[in-house]
This record gives sequence, C-alpha cells and structure tokens, in this order.
Amino acid sequence: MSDTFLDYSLLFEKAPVAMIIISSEGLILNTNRQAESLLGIKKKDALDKLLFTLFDVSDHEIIRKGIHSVKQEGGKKHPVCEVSKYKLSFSPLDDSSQICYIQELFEGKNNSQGNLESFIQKSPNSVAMFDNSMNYIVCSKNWSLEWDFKSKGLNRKSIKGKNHYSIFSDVKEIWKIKHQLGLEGKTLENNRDSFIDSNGNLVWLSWQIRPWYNEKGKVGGILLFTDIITEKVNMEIALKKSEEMLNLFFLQSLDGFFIMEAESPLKLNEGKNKKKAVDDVFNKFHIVKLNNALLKQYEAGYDDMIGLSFNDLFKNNSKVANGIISDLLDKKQQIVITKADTFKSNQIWVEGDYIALFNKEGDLTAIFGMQRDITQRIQDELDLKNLTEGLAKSNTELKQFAYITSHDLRAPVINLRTLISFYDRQLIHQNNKEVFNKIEESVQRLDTTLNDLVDLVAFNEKPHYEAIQIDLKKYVDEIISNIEQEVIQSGTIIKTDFSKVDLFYFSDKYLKSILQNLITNAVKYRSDKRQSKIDISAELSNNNINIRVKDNGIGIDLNKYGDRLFGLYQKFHNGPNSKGLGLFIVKSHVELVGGKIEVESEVDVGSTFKVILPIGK
Amino acid sequence: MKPNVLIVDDDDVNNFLCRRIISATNFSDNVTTFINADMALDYLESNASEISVLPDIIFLDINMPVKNGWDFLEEYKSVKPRLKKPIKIYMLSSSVYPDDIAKANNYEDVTSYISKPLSESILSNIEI
Repeated sequence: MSDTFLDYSLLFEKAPVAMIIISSEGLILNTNRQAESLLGIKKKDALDKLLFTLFDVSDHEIIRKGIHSVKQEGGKKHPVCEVSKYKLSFSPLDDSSQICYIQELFEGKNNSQGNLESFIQKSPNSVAMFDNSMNYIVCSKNWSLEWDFKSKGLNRKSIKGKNHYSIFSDVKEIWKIKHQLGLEGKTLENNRDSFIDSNGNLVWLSWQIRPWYNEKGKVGGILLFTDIITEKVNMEIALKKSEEMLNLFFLQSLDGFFIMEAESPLKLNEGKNKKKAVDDVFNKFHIVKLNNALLKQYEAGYDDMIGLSFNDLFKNNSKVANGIISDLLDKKQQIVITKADTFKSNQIWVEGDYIALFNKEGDLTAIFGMQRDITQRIQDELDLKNLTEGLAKSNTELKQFAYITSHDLRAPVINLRTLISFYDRQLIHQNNKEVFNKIEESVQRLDTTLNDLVDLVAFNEKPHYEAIQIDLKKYVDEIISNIEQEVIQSGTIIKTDFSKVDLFYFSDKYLKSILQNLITNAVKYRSDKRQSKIDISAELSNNNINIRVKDNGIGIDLNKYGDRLFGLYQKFHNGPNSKGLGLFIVKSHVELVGGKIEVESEVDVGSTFKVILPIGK
Repeated sequence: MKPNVLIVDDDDVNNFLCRRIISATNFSDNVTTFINADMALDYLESNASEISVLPDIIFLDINMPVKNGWDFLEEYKSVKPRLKKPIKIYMLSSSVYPDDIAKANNYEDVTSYISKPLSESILSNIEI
C-alpha cells in the first residue's frame, strides 16, 4: 500500500461532503463519515448493499437509472438526480466503480443563499450567517444587540465582511473549534448551556451551529443561533422548586391528600347520562398519588390504598360518594362531612374537600381530594350536645320542682294568713295572746319569704317588659304606705325628691320589687343611736333613671362583705327580719332589666344604694 | 239576684275560707264545693237543665290531683252546650307562674284569673 492510497483514504473519510463509493452494479463499497451522519447509517451495515436501499422506495428507480447512465456513457456523463430529500450526483471512479456525492436539499429547492440572508435579516431570534472564513454575511437585529455591536462602533451594515474573531477577540478557543466543526458540515447544538458573563452573572443560553450550503452543494459557511434563556431557566428552576415544595407539603401535611387519574381524560359529552358518567369516574379513576396522613386516617398501608377508586374510599356510604362525584361533574366544589370505614373497620368522620380538574376540552382529567379526620371534633360536639341536653333537662326539672314547691307551699300559707284574719281576737285568752301574736308574726314572715322565692322562680327567666307609665312620686309613696306601720313605729323620716324626674315607662313588677326591697332594707337596718332618716331621690341621665336610696342606719362593712353583699342568703346583721334574700333579688332584677346597682356604705354612718335603670322612650 | 257559686278545689281549707268570705260579704247564698273535678263535672251534667241549681260562677283551682283545672276545662267544652245557663269560670289559684296566667287567658270559657286568696275586693269586682 502506498502513502498516496492512505492519503486518498483519509481524504475520503474526512471529506466535508457525503460520499459513497459503489460498484457499477450499485453495490456499496465504501462510505465516508459525512455520508453516515447525513443518511443515519453505519458503514458496516451499509457495505455490500445496493445503494438505492438507503433511500425511499419511491426513489429507487431514479437512482438505478443514474447509476446505469454512468455505466452506459462510460464516464462521459455526470448525471445528477434529485430524490425526495437529497441531491445525488454520480461520477465514475474507475472501470468498475463510481462515486456518488450526496447533498441534503436545503429545506426545499428555493432555499438559495439570498433567501437565507433575508430570512436571517428579519429573524426575531439571535442569528448570524458567516462565510467559510467566519466573516459576517448577515445577522439579525437581536444578534447585534446581544453582541453589543455599538460598543465596537459597528452596526448590522458595517459588520458585513468583517471577521468575527477579529472583532471579538475574546471568543474562546472551544467555540472556534465548534465553529470549525460547523464549517466541516456538522450541526452542533445545546439547548441548555451556561456561562458567566463579564458582570459575573450566570447566563443561560441555547445555541446551534449548522452549516449552510451554496448552489454547488458545498458548505458555504455556518449559521449561528443563540437564544438567551436565563429568564426561562430561572423560571423553570423556580417552578421546580415550588413543585418540590408542593410535593413536600403534599407528603408532610397532616391532612390527607390524594390525586385520582384515569388512563385518559374522561369525555363528558352532554347527552351522556349522569349516572353513567358517575360510574365511569368510579371505574376509571384511581388513586395515583397519596400521602401518609391519608394512610393514617384509613389505618392502611400504601399498597392498600394506591389504585383505589372514589367509592372505595366510602365503602359503606355509596350515596355520599355518588353525591360528591355528581356535584363535581357539575363543577361544584364540595366540602363534605361524612363517615368512612378504615381498613381496620373503625368508623371515622372525615371532612373532605374535593376538586375536579378539567382540560380545555372539558374532559375530566383528575380528582384532587383533601380529607381531614374530624372524628375527635365530632365526638366533642356530640359530647357537648349531650351535656347541654342533660343540663337543659335538669334545669327544666329544677324549675318545675321550684314551681311546684313554691305553689304547694304558697297555698297553705295563704290559707294560714286568711285564717288568722278571720280569727276573732276578742275571744283569745290573755295567756294565749302573745302566742297568737307570735304565730301571726311567723306566718307573716313565711309569707314574705315565700313571695320572694316565688318572685325568683317565676320571674327569673325572662323580663316581662310590660312597661307602665310611672309617676315616681306616687309610686314611692304607695310603697311607703305599705310599710307605714313600721315607718311610724320606728319614727323614721322619709324624704323624697323627684323634682328632676318626669313620667317614664318601666316594668311595674321589677321596679316595685327593687324599690320595695331597698326602702324596706333602709327602714329595717336603722340605727338605734339616732333618729332614722331616709332620703330617696332620682334623676334622669341619658336613657337611664338613677334612683338613690340613702339611709343613716347601721351600715355595712364593705371591706368585709363587699363581694358577698348581693349573694343568695347572705346575712350581714343579726335580726329577726333579716333573711338574706332582699339584696339578691334587687340585684337579679336590676340585671334582668339591663341595669346596674352601686353601693356606698360606712359602718354606723349609713348606706347609699344607687340603681341605674335603662328606660324606654 | 245573688249568684249561685261552685268552687272546685282539692284544698278543703281554701273551700272553707271561700265559703266564709262569700257569706261574710253576702256575695251569694248558694255555695257548692267539690274537692275534685270529676264530681263537679258530674254535678253540672246531672243538673244541666236545672237553672235554679246550676251555678252562675265557678271558682276553679288549677293544681288538683287526678284531673287538674285544665282537664276540667277540656271536658267542660263538651258539657257546656247542654247547660241551660251561661256560667262564668274564674281560675282561682295560688300559682304565680306566668305561663299559668297566660294559659288561663287563652281559654274562651275562662273569664279571668284570680290569685289566691279570694278577698272582699275581688268579689266586689265580679260582675253578675
């Protein structure tokens, strides 16, 4: 073997043009690298096959003719034939073989260099066209901006014919090699490349280097495409990050999550019957993703639940499952509280939020579910309800008891009172007179206490606001006249001043109870050391009437008894008439009508009670 | 004409006192008392046509064993059409429960509610 042959072989192998050497019969004898890459074949597979088998069936005849015509004409003719994607030109090599040049038709026959140039000129992308020596032919506007022509004092017109490497002296060696490969006919690309720009920022770009061919079918130079995709990549990274976070949320959440999908989106054409659609969802949609919280809810393992259908989740509650899906198909989002059975046959309450996802065509693509175990909450609510019902029941019973007791006690007390009034005192023997007086006194006390109790029991639930017109002067005088005897006996002087008050409307029952108790107390707890004096006055302020009952009696030690003053059965004095109900009743009645009571008191000086009562217009 | 009075109350003492106050005030000369509702209803039934015997006024207690005042009023509805005389019924009770008073006012046959004890002033306000 001579060196010449070797050189020839190397030249053939590395030629930038696709070449195949065939026998005069059309059998493949050798292929070069360019042909392999262009036709997507491997040399060892192609050898000894007929050339036309590398091409479409429709091209076979025309190729056969081409080969034949070279053979026939004995090398005088160099036929060219265009097949579907390629241009094949044949030329004889020696007596028994010929060479076939194959050239890719450049995206249609019209794609001349001129067309290419005008295409690049107008391209919205960043594209530049170079000749074989890397001199500019043309570039797009974005290219000129990206490469910052301005800083070099150049523009898209003046760049023409200038060498890329001379202008941009910092083009790296690696790129020069890539360009060279392009000039050799290779197409190189990278959709996701990065570099650090002069400001130190990470820049993402996609690029492509591909050769362009001149009319002779030879590489005329290269086209460079670059596209800065930093923003897009950053968005993708952010999206991926948020997807990861969502995924983390999905997996770690204390709420149960699941996603159900079918093999293909479910068509929901109108006219299709609803029940069928719901059944389709049950049959075709299965859990494809779920989290631990859901497994925990159902006391299940992953394998138990993956692939379950919607009605599997509500095994013993198909009505609910039907209802939810039916509403979802109507595009109603649902929050449902329902019972479900776990894999260990325990019953749980779940609050579920289900969302149906539809594609653009309106087909159901997925069902997303969020379920919370609210068994404890429901249990608590039930407990509370039972407790409330129990309390209400015992409260009613208590009320009934108090009612019956007060009624049953009241009847004989009334009888006693009336009997005493019928008793002919004239006939009482002197010895029995004192006894009879004590009986009368006792009955009187029993009657008062009972009336107080009845007041509490009968009126303590709702204010009976049958307001009547009140002339306070007359009203108080009447109350005083009811206890006239005690007032006169004790020598109490009662002064009233209602000059600042007009007529007003108020509940007779409550006002009487309040004033009666306050005035009676003032008389009752007088001091023996001085003449008893009571001042009763009133004034209007805003929508309130403030009534003040001031005495100079024995007073109350508020430091000692202040917090118990208005309590039930609290007595602060040792006296036969003290029964500990009065102030409790006053306070509860004042509060029932929405009022307030205040007290000032000093031991052995006296007490002042002030009630503030809201009045109607 | 003084009215005939019928008192229905299981409380004997009350009935005694009512008689006393009625006679003391000269309100009526004809007072009949029953200690349960059934006896009173029987009495009305059997004297349905006897205008001179039938009461003009009934004082009716609410809380009585077996049949209470409300039961009496329910049954009275079916007795009433046969009675040859209009009768005024007064609920006479020691109850101060507001619901009882409201309930009494809802009965068409009840003229009014009276809180015990029956007194001279109450009797003087009753129109015959």
